[in-house]
Order: sequence, then structure tokens, then C-alpha cells
Amino acid sequence: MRTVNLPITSDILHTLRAGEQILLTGSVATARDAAHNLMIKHDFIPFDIKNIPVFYMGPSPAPVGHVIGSSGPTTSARMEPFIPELLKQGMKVVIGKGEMSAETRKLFQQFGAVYLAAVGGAGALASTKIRSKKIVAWEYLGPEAVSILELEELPVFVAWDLHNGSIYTRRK
Amino acid sequence: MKNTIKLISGDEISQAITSLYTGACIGPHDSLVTELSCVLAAEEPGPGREALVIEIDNLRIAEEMGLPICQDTGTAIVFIELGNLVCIPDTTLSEAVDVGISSACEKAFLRPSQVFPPLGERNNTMNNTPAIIHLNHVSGSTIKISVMAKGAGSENVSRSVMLPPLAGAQGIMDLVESCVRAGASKACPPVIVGIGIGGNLETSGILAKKALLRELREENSVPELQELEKQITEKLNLTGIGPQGFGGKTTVLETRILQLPCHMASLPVTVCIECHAHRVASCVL
Repeated sequence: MRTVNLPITSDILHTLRAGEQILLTGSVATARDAAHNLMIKHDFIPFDIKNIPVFYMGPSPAPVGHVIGSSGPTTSARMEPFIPELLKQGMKVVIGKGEMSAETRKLFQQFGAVYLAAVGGAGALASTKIRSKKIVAWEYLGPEAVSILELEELPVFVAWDLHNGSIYTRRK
Repeated sequence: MKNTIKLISGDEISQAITSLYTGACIGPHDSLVTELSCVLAAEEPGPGREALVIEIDNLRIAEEMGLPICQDTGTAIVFIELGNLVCIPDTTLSEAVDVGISSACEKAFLRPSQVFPPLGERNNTMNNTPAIIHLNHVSGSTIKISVMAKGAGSENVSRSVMLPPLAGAQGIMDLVESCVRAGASKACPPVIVGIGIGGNLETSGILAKKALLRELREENSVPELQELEKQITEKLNLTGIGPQGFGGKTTVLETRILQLPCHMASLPVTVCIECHAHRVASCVL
């Protein structure tokens, strides 16, 4: 299994294949429903969306001595209404869980973006792969605040690649 | 023998709730590890199987580190069977439950996920209250409490439907299949399917939730329902959706059905999807 460093270069992005498990290392930004709503409403993205992947995640509080609490992905489909605008603004990598619509998949293809799926429900394991957390916007949202996380080898799966491949096509 | 009243304090109930909710969220989850390990052995190589390995590792890590299995420590759903000889002199059940949930949230670092009002501001209540309580008054001098931490990913793909009264087992099967095909990948599979058949609009939902309380591998005591559960599980495992929707043989771990009488003109059905991170704990006071 290979480690992929963030930000992912265009060359590496093209080598990713749907179904492949990779280990992500580097910076990601957390955002879920409330933060997406605010980003679009105020036309303000509190991180470099062209280089920093968006991780659909709202952690549980960090116990004493921990960087962060449990940190698994939330359902990506809820963020679909916000995706077209963020793709226009340069979003290249999204980390979430669960299948999204065919329309969104077309947009990912069109904008050359990749969808990575973390393992839903595996929040404790994900927590052990996070080295730091810094809140960068809307702290009052609690678990929905936007944070920059430094990942070290977080296991994720390539869900949609740049070559029209999808991990969700094995069903009968 | 004379029936004597048993006094139980609000504190005792709150402490039990705190301990159950914390235990449900963090573990240990030995029977779940066993169940998932069992399906892992039969799973074909590929990303679905690899995801299943991560799901199992996660349960062990959560227990070792004292972290919640999943960051979504859910809506706290509390089922109470209250004996008719029990008296709680110093508080109300809902107050005692919410004190317990709020204390677990604070002490065990569980995520507050409840917001109010549901439209507009949606401010986080910051202690994960209010819990949702389902109360049953039974005979006896004990209180049985079960706490379920139910995540929203799986709740969002659940469904309540009023089927035509004669839709029968096929109608149930079709409904569950459409529900699982449309939503399973978003609900962290392999899922457990709870089905409530009968009652009315609201009781079918409670029944479906209650069905999820059944112990893993415990069989349905009604032979027809046991057979239907088996058929549903087998059929859905042919879809190939697999763990996390990544493909594989295991989409559904178990199906569980409960039933109630219903109006002759109705067939209320709720399909409650539960994620693989199934978190339930019970005790008797």
C-alpha cells in the first residue's frame, strides 16, 4: 500500500485508481453541513481549497492528552448541493463516505477532481492518524467548526478516480 | 406476599444511563468483533474486505484508547421498562435520563450532536440532550434500561411507509431492498436492518428501533418472521454492495423484525437501518 503526500501533485492524482487503498499524509480541512452553508453564504473559504482536500468530518471532543477525538468521515451526499461551487473554486480532492449521485460524479470528471472514501464508523482508528488540529473558522459551531488537520497515513480508498472509475460499481 | 414499593433515586438512574451510554459508545464490543470477524472470513478479496478489516481494528482501538468507535455518538435513545412497583420520588424519568446523557457526554468526551431549533439557527445544545425515551410500564419492582447510540448516517436512509394492507411479505421485501440499495453505502455497511411491522405511523418506527435491541445472533421467536428475516438477509447479500459499499458478500449482518396488530385498512412498516458500529447497552436496576 502506498503513502500519498498532500497536496497531491497532478501526476500522482492521475495514477490513483478506484478501489485502491492509500495512506494519506499531510494537511486536510474539515467541513460539514453548517460550515459548507457558511462558506457558500459568505463566499469565504477559510483554507486553500486548491491544495487542501476537504474532509467531511466533525470529530468528537479530544480527551485530555489527545490531539483529537474520534474522527471518521460523515456522509458525503449531504454536501452535494455545495460541491459545484467548490469545484469551480478549485477543489480537487474530497474525503468522505458513501456513494454520491451520477450528476456529481460527472462534475468530478469535468473538473478533474478525485473522491476518496474513508471508512465510516472507524473514527477511533482515524484519530490515531491525526498529528495536529487547528481550528481556522467558526469555532462556535463546535464539532462543525473548520479545522486544519495534519494526517499521518490515514487509510482511505479511491472512490472516484480521474478515469471514470468508481468503487461503487461492483453491485449486482 | 405483599407488594412493596421499591424506591429508586434519580441519581441511580442517571449514573446507570451515564455508564450505559459511555459503554455503548466506547466498548468493549466483543460480540460485534466476533460477528464481523466471522463475515470477514467469508469475504472475497478487494476493497470491501479491506474496509471490513479496518472496521474490526477500529473496535479494538476504540476500547484500548477509550475513544468512541465513531465520532457520531448519535442521538441517545433510551428504552425503559418501568416496573409498576417502582417509585422515583425525587425527579422525573426524563430529567434523570438527560442528566445521565449530559454527564456521559462531558466525562467520556462524546460528541454533542443535537441542534435546536431544527430550522434556522440549529444551535448545538452542547450536551447531546434531549435523549429520546421510549417508556413501557410493566409489572414488577425493577427498571430495565437500554441505551442505543444511533448515528445519523444510518438513520437518514431509514424509511417509514404505509403499505397497502395486503402487500404481504413480498411488499416488505421490496421496501427493504429499495431502502438498502438506495442508502446502504451511506450507512456504513454491513448494516443491521430493523423492521417494525404493524401498529401505526409512530409505533412502527419505535418497533423497528426496538428490533435493533435484540442480541446479535439471537433468533426471532416467531417462526414466520425468523424465516422472513433470513430471506431478506440472504437476498440483500446478493446485491454485492458489501462493506462500506466497496463491493462484497456482506451488505447486511442481520435482519430483525417485530410486529404489532394494526388497523384492517393499513400496513404500517418502518425499515430502520443501523450501521455496523452497532452501539447498545442494557442493565436492570
